[in-house]
Amino acid sequence: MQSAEREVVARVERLKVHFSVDKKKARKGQQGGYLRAVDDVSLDVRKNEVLGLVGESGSGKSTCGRALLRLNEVSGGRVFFEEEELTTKSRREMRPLRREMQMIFQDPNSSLNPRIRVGDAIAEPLRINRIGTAAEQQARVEEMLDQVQLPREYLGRYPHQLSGGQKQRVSIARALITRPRLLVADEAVSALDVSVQAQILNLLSDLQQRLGLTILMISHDLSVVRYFSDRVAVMYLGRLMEVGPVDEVFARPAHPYTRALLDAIPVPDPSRVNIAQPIRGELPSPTAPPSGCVFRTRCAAAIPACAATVPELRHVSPDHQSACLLAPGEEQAR
Amino acid sequence: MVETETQSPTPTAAATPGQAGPLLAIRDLEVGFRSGDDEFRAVNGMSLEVRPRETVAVVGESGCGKSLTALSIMGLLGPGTSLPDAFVRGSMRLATGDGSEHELVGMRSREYDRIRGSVLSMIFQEPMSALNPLFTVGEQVVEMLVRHEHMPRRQAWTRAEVLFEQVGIPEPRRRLKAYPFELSGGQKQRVMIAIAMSCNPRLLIADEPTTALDVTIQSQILYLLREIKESFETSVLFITHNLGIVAQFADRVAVMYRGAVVEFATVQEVFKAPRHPYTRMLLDSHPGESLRARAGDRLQAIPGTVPSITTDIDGCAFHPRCPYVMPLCRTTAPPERIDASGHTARCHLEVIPDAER
Repeated sequence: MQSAEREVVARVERLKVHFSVDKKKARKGQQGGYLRAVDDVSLDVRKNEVLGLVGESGSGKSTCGRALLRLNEVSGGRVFFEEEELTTKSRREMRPLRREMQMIFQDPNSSLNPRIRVGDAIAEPLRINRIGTAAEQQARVEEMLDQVQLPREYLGRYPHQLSGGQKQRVSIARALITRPRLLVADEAVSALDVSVQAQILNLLSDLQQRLGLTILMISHDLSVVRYFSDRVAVMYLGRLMEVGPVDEVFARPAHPYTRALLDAIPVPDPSRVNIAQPIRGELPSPTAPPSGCVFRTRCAAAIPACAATVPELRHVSPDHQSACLLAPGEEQAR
Repeated sequence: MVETETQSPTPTAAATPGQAGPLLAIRDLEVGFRSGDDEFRAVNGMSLEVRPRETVAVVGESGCGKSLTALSIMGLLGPGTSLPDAFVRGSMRLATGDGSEHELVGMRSREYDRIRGSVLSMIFQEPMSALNPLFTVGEQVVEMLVRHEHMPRRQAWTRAEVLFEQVGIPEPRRRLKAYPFELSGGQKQRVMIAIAMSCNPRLLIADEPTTALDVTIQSQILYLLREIKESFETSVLFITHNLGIVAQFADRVAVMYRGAVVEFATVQEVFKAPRHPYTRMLLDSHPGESLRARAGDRLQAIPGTVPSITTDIDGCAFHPRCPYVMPLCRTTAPPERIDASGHTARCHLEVIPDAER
């Protein structure tokens, strides 16, 4: 792995998460037996940074985030949290670490229990982890409510009495109440209208800077990731295609897939209408990924070698890596 | 910023001589639901027009009434539909191309059956729920052709294959025999487009057709819709919450808030010089290219949320969330103001003051 100047909070090394979808084929080791949700991904999340993890459905970005918290079984590779290897830990050994790593989800309607009042939902992580006395817990809940800018009278309300944005504030308060060292936000603003999304992004950004949070932000929305992240990692069909500083990746994408993804964003500027032919084809089945580079079937620059070799991540600049056989710029010549 | 104002605001409409009149003119549309003795209006005085060969985007946040507007144009609300408690009032005049004009509000369902599919057609956000899972996709295209174009079945199958090719479905002949579940989301939306275009409609209503799709597939579908719109010379009413799609795809845009159009103009006008505070705040809430949270940039959030349709708001519906609210706004609904270029806005302010951001 690359030597980072900054302390690493969490790290996955050659992570594989394979789900068996056809037991018979899986036993015989045939194609189609496994769904390779994450395949050979190495990535680190550095202290106080926001790492954006982007990709389309089926890219494995959520599975990767869940594996980082060991919410998924891992099929290969290793997961580290602050130098501790998580992959070898039992459920019981994981328990004290849980409070250090929290997650917020896309849909607060399904992540908040409809029968639990806001105050109790936020306090739950403290109760489960037996942190503080009842009075201390109450004080902490109220403090969190202030942090997420919800009025105190919301403590006694039920989720159905809140708007989507308010529910997401409750989820954030609940996730941060144990003062986690890593927060995984999985499409945390995707279900919200753009004006409410802006409120939540502003809030998360304030909290991130005030509390020095380390966030893995999983999102399919590249505009959100560009705004919010320091670095960005791009996944496609279970593999990491490119990782680097957000400004560099957006200005000079090194991987043809990243470029296709960026070209596909509809720019909210009518003076820049893009009528170019978009990227062709659809995502291949993750149970039968193409050999070599998984992106080659849709890549306009693919050469025969792409079918034979799985490209390793290569440095295009000190902190920017891309997994393409062709050097950046080389493929533009077609 | 005024250089385009002397020209016709929509080049596509101007390119069709002799068809200056709108294809669809919606005036003071009200759509709502009856619940006992109460009435809730989700669309409240909406006005809009679509010219021949023009793409008009309707943009707004959830609950602003954009989808209900689409359903009411299609005649899918009210008695005899799956939403019988809904009511539709006002006027929606549709020019059918043979020189005649039809009032859609109150139209009899038999008459509606004739124009639905042939003059008007619609694609939805969820192609899976719009396709019948029990029939092959080919059968579903053929049914449209037989029913509306009175085509013999054999000929309809040939035509269906051509349509599939036009919407970019690989191996069209084989794909005609596929059931919806065998197709990906993008392919299903292509099938929906083929069905929608099968009878050469004059107006295609696209209700969030790419919202459920991944961004690369979205760009393919938008590319296809652009091609289709040109080759079929169709007008498109594109309903979306995505401002990027509006900018990329539409000629004119109607911004909806709480059931009414608060601003209506060409996309160039609206993106460059929005006249309604809601429009401007909506545009600014998008995380723009140069903004970085790390650098302390904050997004323009619109305070609060859209009030529920069951609460009555006096005056301008946006006033509880508007930073420029004046006493007049709380009592009097702003009239629609229109300038020489046809840019309309419903706001008491002549000019939005510069925001201190």
